[in-house]
Amino acid sequence: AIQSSRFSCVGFPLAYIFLACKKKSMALKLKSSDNKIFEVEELVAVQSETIKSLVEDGCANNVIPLPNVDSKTLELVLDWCKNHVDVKLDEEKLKEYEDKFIEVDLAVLYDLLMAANYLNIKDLLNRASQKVADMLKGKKPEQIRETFNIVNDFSPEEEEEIRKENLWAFEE
Amino acid sequence: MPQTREATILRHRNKYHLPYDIVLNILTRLPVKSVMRLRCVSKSLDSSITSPHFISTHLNNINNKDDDDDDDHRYLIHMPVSPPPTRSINRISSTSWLPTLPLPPSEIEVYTLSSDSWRRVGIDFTTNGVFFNNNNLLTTPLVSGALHWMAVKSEEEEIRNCEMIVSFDVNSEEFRKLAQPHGSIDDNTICRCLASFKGKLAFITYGHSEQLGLQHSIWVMREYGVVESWNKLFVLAFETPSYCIAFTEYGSLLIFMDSRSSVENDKFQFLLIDTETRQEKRDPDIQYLSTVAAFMESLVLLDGANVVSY
Repeated sequence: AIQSSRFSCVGFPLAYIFLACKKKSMALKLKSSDNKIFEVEELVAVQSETIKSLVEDGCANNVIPLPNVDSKTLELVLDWCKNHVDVKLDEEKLKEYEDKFIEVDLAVLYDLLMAANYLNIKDLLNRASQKVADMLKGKKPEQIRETFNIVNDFSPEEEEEIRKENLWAFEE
Repeated sequence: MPQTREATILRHRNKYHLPYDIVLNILTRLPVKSVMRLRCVSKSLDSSITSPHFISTHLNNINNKDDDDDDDHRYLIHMPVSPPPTRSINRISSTSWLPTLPLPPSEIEVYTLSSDSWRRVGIDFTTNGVFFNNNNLLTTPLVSGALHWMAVKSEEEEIRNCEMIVSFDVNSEEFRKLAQPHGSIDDNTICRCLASFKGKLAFITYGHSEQLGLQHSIWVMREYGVVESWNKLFVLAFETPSYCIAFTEYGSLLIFMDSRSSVENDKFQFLLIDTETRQEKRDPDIQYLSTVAAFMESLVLLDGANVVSY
């Protein structure tokens, strides 16, 4: 009560100071879909816009459940976040890290894409999308349908028409 | 039962059942040719690919792509020079290579792709007796949103004193005059032309050299429109007749040397000069006298109502 009155007379609400201090040193607890708990610094975790808004709304005091991300993927994602929080890391090193990070097979890339989308981590989403795009270069429409599970709703005539219009794109 | 469920998940995962917006995000990162092939994948994908949003995102991604990445979206293409037009053309186009104007234009028209039409534009200083000069082998530079020509007023007696740089702003459709670098012209100057150097306006003079045959002086306007910012970059001297063809994206200068008259070397030669290190590289791949155009692929549509302006 004494402290409270002392702070309020210089114009700082005590609760605000308390929150600010707490915020600085706070570690967040994240729970993966397979129930593993990850303890991470807030600075690392808030690169996820999804987690950031939870923190801002004051919903991050307990364990944050992430039912869409398994522990293997979450570990990778948090590693990415740790390496992107350190602004001192120079561009060349960061690029080196990213190139090595993204050198994974399609199944892992898929998990990373889904996690980055769900957690809303833009740079990871873009980097993973670019990697998939690089793998898809030169693929045939049939292979793209197969890859993304897209149903062909063109009639054979319509498809032929579009192919004719874009013949140059089909030349080797 | 748990086994079948596992199997379903695996099968789904094999097909990478990604949300549609992630799929589109991936596809905006493909080269144009790959994207165009995907138009026949499905109706919804076709309409997504041809939407203005997809096209502009794709353009952005190409522009932001890391320089270190494979550079297959950037080319330096060279094309054989076509024979000069037999008729004088006094129309200018705001979107493509511009014909030289060997006669004083009585009227000036601009072609707009989105409306597929020619439109007359005004010029706020007198064009009486103004000749737009041939830019030699260089293409008309587009710098700071404006096209640039060397022009000369013919009625004056001292021709070299009345040469000027004329710019045409493609957005406001206004003509302006720009001053040449101070002291750039003397009795040895044969001709002047303009180029684009790393996005800035470059001014090149060809002149007689006392030691060698020919020398090129190159100025760059560091701050667009500021006469004081003209800065002399370097001077190159040649024994054989040589012409500047283009600056590359990274600022190297492509030179064409006409060695046809010399005894020991009876052909054209091309030279690529690094403007920082002055290293020269002979380029044997170019066989014919060529002009150079910067090329970047994009999905931006050029026809009628679908045209998107940037």
